[in-house]
Amino acid sequence: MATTPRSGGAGSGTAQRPNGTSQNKSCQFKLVLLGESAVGKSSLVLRFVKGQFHEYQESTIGAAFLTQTICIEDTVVKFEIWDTAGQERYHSLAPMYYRGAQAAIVVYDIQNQDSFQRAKTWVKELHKQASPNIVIALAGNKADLSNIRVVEFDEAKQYAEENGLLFMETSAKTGMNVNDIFLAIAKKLPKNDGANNQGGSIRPNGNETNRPTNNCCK
Amino acid sequence: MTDGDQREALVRRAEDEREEIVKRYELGLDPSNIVDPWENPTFEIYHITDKYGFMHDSRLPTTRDSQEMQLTKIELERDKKWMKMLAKWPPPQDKLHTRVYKGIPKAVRWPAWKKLLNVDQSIANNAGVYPRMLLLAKKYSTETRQIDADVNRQFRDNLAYRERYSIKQCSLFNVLNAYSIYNSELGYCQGMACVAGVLLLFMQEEEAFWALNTLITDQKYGMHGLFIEGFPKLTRFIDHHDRILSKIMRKLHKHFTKHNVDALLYAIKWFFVVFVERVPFSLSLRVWDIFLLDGDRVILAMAITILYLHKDELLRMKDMDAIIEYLQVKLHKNFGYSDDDAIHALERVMKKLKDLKLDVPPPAKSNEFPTRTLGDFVEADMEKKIGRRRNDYTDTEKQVITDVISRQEQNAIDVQSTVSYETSECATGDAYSMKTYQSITSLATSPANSSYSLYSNGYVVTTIENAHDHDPSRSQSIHNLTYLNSQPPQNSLPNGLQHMRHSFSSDSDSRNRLDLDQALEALQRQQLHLHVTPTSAAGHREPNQGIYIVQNGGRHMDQQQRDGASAIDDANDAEADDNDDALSVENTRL
Repeated sequence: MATTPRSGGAGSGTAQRPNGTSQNKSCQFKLVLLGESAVGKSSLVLRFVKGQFHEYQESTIGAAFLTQTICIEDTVVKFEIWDTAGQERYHSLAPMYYRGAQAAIVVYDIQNQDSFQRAKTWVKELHKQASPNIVIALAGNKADLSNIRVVEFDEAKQYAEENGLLFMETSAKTGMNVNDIFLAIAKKLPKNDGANNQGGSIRPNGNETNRPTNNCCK
Repeated sequence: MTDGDQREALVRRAEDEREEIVKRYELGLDPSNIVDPWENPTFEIYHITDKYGFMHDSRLPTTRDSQEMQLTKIELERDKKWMKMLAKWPPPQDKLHTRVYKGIPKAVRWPAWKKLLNVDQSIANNAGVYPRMLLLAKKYSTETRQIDADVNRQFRDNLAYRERYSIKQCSLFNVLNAYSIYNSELGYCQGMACVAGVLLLFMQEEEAFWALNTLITDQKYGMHGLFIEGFPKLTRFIDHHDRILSKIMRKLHKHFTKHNVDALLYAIKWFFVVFVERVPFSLSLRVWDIFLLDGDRVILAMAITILYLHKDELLRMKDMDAIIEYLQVKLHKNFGYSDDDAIHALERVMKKLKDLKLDVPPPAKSNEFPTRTLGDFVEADMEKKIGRRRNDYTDTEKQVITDVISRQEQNAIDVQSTVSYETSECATGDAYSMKTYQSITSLATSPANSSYSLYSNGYVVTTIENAHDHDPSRSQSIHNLTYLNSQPPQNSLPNGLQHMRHSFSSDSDSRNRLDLDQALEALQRQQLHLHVTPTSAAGHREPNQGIYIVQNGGRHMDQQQRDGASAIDDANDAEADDNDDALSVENTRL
């Protein structure tokens, strides 16, 4: 579930966080990054989670998992981020990561038309096979290289609008729009009253288990 | 030239040298005065580079402590022994075994690895092949773009690969590109750049090519099955890894299951690149030494060793983030044990696994090895040539998805048993029952149906509170199960599984279907063994807030199913026994 009221004895995932006031709601969302190889998926995550940028981010084998917590108004939002491998061959593992995800960022490289086409097929696949309510953002990365772009901003924006996606051009290198895109996703995700909102912590396994761990009632 | 002439030339050289040096001092800080980077104290690179060429964030210690001095001394002695042994190859097996487990000295890794991988023999048997593959690759490889993208980011923190288009970078590109033609069935898979990258740190280009080929195609290492579409060996190894874990580290296995830490999440990279970048580099080389000697069973044993050595730490972690972060990042930076200690533990784990007959996984299927003749040039089809992306999954990929999802379903069921167990212990209050409810619905197909799938397997799940509250988003994890085929739910299986069966029952590949049916049967058997919370547990809490799991007679529990489920029984026994039993390595001092 997305919102675990602090006062209700939150599960393990949130227990250590300092804020403990009962007004604050806290939500946990599973987010997956998809997109062609070398468009900057891992770099976007690294910038968002650690504020760093590595020119030579190693290629992701399988997938990497990171978390980041942000605050919007009175809500603490924790993203559980699955950063996937981009090579076509790893495609068949992708459902494992986007199953049960509440949000996805589909990334392309603005210098690479193929990667934009690939992004579109990811969006199609998500629409067909991911959760019906999944919030999808399209990120045109490497925006610092916009002088040598081949994918026009307007073209991507129009595509995003037609398909109900959030859209931003980002640069993991300069940090441009990186926090913003995550924030925009967080705003769009439902975070309503305690008991009734959707499962925010559905793990890649698709089940919801580590809420009821210890601590809660001892 | 007379002696006199020679003397005169030498004097002139000394004069020129002096003149050059004096001139430099006269120029002083003038910009035209050319200074090599190393001449300034700002040149840090050699202070932060370790003996393998990897650069670190801060300076390495300038002096060596007595322990390190001692190690250097030992390594020098070993160098000598190895040189002798290499000259009289092959050595007696036990001698080789002892020395490899002690660690191949850095100075002889080049010849030693070449011997272990039969490199010189391969080169001699395949004269002219590598240059031919290289030429063909330049013209026909369809993997060049991906290889280029990966070479550009492989080991860029190592001096050998640091500079773009450096000699080693070019070699790495060539080896991978040529290999994508030589083994055209495999082509290139991410992960191979890392493997070839390690080989190239110790070998020349053509040597690395043949070493890579041995690792990929030789039965002993069989990495073909890891990297080929569908990753058949990965699935087989992960399953065996789980099997070992559930038998000898039950507590940890339960802990991982409870926190949804699927082995697929941490072990892919372990298996694909043999622990490089997941443990400190020096330790990964020690593991490679042993891997090259003893083959792929070492990978399974090392995985268990890592978990064993860090079991206490991992058991203390209460969520998936912490566990994954620990295994993915922390252990790479600091393993917490010396390389020697880690290898000793590995050796003992290997012995233990052998005693338990768990050291060798089930045999490979034929799809783990190349079927085409290596080196036979096959021109790629049009789709591959133009690099068009597929929209649909191939049959092999569908199988992968099915395998992965049935694993997850199985885990969900295991977790379910844990949850119901805990509920009986400590359930009070709203929030708690709600959470439990959530985890049950994720097992079932939708909140409205939550009693459905479990009922048919002998259990009724009733949620009193919130049962009316049908929020479609809540069923999303289950919804995802249906993505292969959106057939309506049918009887006796959780809907998702039913869908999977459906999607494959129309599949022309009968092997797929068979495997799937077996998987589903196994799953059903497991469900019968769900840990059941007795109804009396409800006494602990308000009746209208709880969740009840009631056995309705287990009408499906026939003899056949019982027979097939002994492993599960073991697991249940383990649950009763909080201390891991005598079978476990945990009670054995490693």
